[in-house]
Amino acid sequence: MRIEATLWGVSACFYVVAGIAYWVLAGDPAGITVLLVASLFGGVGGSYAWVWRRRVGDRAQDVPEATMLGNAGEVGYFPASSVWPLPIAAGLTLLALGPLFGLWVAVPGASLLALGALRLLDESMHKAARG
Amino acid sequence: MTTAPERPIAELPPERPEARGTNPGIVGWLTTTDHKRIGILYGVTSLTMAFIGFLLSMVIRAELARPDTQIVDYDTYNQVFTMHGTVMVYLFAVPFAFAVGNYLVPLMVGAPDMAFPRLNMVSYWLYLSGGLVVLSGFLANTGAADFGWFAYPPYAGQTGSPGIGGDLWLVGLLLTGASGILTALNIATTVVMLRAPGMTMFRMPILVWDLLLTCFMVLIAFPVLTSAQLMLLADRRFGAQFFVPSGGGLPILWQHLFWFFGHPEVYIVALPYFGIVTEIIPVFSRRPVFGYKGLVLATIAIAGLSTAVWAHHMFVTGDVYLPYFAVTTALIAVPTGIKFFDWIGSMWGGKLVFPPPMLFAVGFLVTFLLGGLTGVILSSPTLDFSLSDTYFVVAHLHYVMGGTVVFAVFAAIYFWWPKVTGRMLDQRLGRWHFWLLVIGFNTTFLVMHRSGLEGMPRRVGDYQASAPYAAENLISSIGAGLIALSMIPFVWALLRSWRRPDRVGDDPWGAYTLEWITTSPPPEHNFDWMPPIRSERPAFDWRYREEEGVGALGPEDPWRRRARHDASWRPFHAWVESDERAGDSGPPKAPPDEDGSDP
Repeated sequence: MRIEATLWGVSACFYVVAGIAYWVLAGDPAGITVLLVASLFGGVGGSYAWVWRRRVGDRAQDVPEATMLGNAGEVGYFPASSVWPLPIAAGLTLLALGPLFGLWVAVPGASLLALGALRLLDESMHKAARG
Repeated sequence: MTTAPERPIAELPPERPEARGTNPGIVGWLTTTDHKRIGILYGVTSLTMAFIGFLLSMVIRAELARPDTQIVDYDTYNQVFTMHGTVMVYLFAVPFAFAVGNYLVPLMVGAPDMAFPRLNMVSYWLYLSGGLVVLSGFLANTGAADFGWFAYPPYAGQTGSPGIGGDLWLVGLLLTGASGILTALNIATTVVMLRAPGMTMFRMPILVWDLLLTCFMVLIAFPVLTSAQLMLLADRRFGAQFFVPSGGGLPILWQHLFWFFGHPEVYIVALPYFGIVTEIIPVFSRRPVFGYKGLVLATIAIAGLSTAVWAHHMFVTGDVYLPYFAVTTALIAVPTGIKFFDWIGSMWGGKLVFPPPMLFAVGFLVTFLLGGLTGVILSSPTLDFSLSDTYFVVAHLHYVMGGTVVFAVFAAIYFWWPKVTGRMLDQRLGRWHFWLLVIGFNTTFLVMHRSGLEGMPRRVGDYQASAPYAAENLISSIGAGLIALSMIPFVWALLRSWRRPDRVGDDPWGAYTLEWITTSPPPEHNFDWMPPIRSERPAFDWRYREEEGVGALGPEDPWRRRARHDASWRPFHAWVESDERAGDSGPPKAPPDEDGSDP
C-alpha cells in the first residue's frame, strides 16, 4: 500500500500548495474552497492507506516475487447475480424526480429504494450466515 | 422479518460453481453483477447514446450547411446543440471509459470481479435512468434544455429557462453524476485492493494507471458538479437565490463550480483513451512501452494540474486572476508532451504493423496533437479574448474531446473485440472505416478553425449568405456526411462478425497484458489459471518463457517448480472441488519444464 498511500498523500500536498498559491494570488473564495476540500480527499485516502500499511505490511500484490499462493483463500464476497440493484436505482430515480412532479412520484420512489436496500442487505447477511 | 432461514448452517446449500450469472436470457442480463456483462451493457448503452448525439449533430450540420434557417427554428436549434453536447460529454464519452474500465480493469489486474459487484450494477442502472431522464426533455411541451451543456445561470435559472426541460436535464445529470462517483469508487477500490499477487503498482498496464487517476479526478470533480446542480435545482424549484443576482446570488459562482468540474472532465474523457492507445501502440510496434514510469508520472501530473486550471474557461468574464490560470494551463502541455514523446518512442525502431486498432491509435495521435496545439494557443488570455466563443474553440474542443475519443473508442473496439466475443472484426472493412473517418473528421473540423478566425460565433443557428465563412460551413457539412458514411463499413463489420464469425484464439494479436492469458470470452471468474506476474507484460513473459533473456521469468523462478503441483496454482478465487479432484486446472498443455511449446 506504500505507493497508494504516497499517491494520495502527494495529491493532498498538491492541493494544499495550489490552494495556498491561489489564495495569495487570486483570493477568490470559491476556488480556494474547492482546492482545499480537494486536499481532504487525498488526506483521508492517504492516511487510511498509510494506517493499513502500518498494520498489515506488504500484501502479496505489493511483493514483486509473490506467487499465486500469496492470495490463497477467500479474496472477497462476489455475490450471486442480484435483482436488487434495479429497484434501488429505479427508486433513486423516482425520488430525484420528486421535486419536479410531486409526492406521488417521490413516495413510491422512496419505498422502492428502501425495499431494494433492505433486501440487498438481507442478501449479504444470508450469504454471511452460509459462509 | 422471517426471511432468515431457521435451518442449521450445515444444511444450507453448498456454494455452487454456477452461483452467479445463472439466469438465462434477458433476465440474466437484467440481474447480472458480472463486471464483464456490466461492461458490455455500459458499452452498448454509451454507443447508443453516441448514435443519438451524432444524429443531433447531423441536424446542426444540415442547418448550418446553407445560410438562413431551413430545418429547425432557433429555439429547436438551441435544444439540439445543448443536447448534442450533453449526450456526447456526459452520456457517451465518460460512460464508454467506464465500459472499458468495467470490462478490462479486473482482467488486467487479475481480479475475479470488481470490488463491489452489486454497486456496479446500481451504477449502470443510474446511468441508464439518468440518461433517459435527460433525453425525456424532448417530450416536454416546452422542449428539452436549451442553455448549452454548461448551463450558465441566469440563463439556466428559473427566469431564463422556465420549462421543465431544464429541470429534467439537472435531475438526469445528478443521477449520472452519482453513477459516475460510484463507478469511480468501485474501480479505484478494485485497483488498490484486488490486484493479483505480484501485480505491483508499477507493473499495472498503463490503461489501469490512467483509469485509476481518472477515478481520482472523478472523485474530486463530480461531487462539485453534483452540489452545484443541486444548488441550481434549488434556485429553480424552491426559490433559493444561489445564482440569482437580484437575490444577492452570484452567477459567476456557478461558472467557478461548473468549470472546477468541467476542466477535469476534459481529462476524465481523455486519460482513459490515452490509456487505450498506450496499450495498443506497443503491441503493434513489437516493443515494450517506452518510458513506463515517465508515462505514469506524466499522467499523475496531468491529473493534478487539470484540477487547477478551471478558470481558463472564464478568461473573458474579466473576473479571474489570469496569470495563475494561463501558467497552469500552459504547464499541462509539458506532461502531455512527455506522453507524446513516449508514444513515439514506443514506435521508434519497432517492427510496426498496421491492423485497424493501430491505425486508429495513430489517428488518435494526429487528432490529439492538432487539438493540443490549438489548446496552447487558447491558453494565452490575449489570444483567448478574441477567439473565445468562436468556431475556433468549437474546432479545438472537437479535436481534443471529439476526435480523440472517437478514434480511441474505435481502436478499443477493434482491439478488444476478439477478447469480448472470441471473433475478429474484418480488417479490410476496418481500414475503409478508418480512412473514411480520418477524411470526414478533418474535413468537418479543420475548416472550423478558419471560420472561427473569420468570426463565426458558436451556438448560432444562422448566418448571412455574404458571411466570409459560408463556404467553410458547406465544407464542414459535407465532412459530416463523410463521417456518417464511414460508419457503414463499421456496421457491416459488426454484422459480419455476428453472421459469419471469424473465430480466433485467446490472443490473436500476440498482446502483452494479463487479459490475453484467459479465454475469449473470459470465464465466469475471469481466470482458470494465471501465469506468474514478473513484469508489466505477463502474457509476453509467459509466451517466451523458454527464450533466455526475453521474458522476465528466470529459470530459477519458484513458480516454475510449483507448476508441477497442480493444486497449488489453482486460481486463488475459484476453488471448485470437482476440478480439484479431476486435477484438470492449469494451462492447456503440460508444464513448461517438460515441453517448450506455446500453450
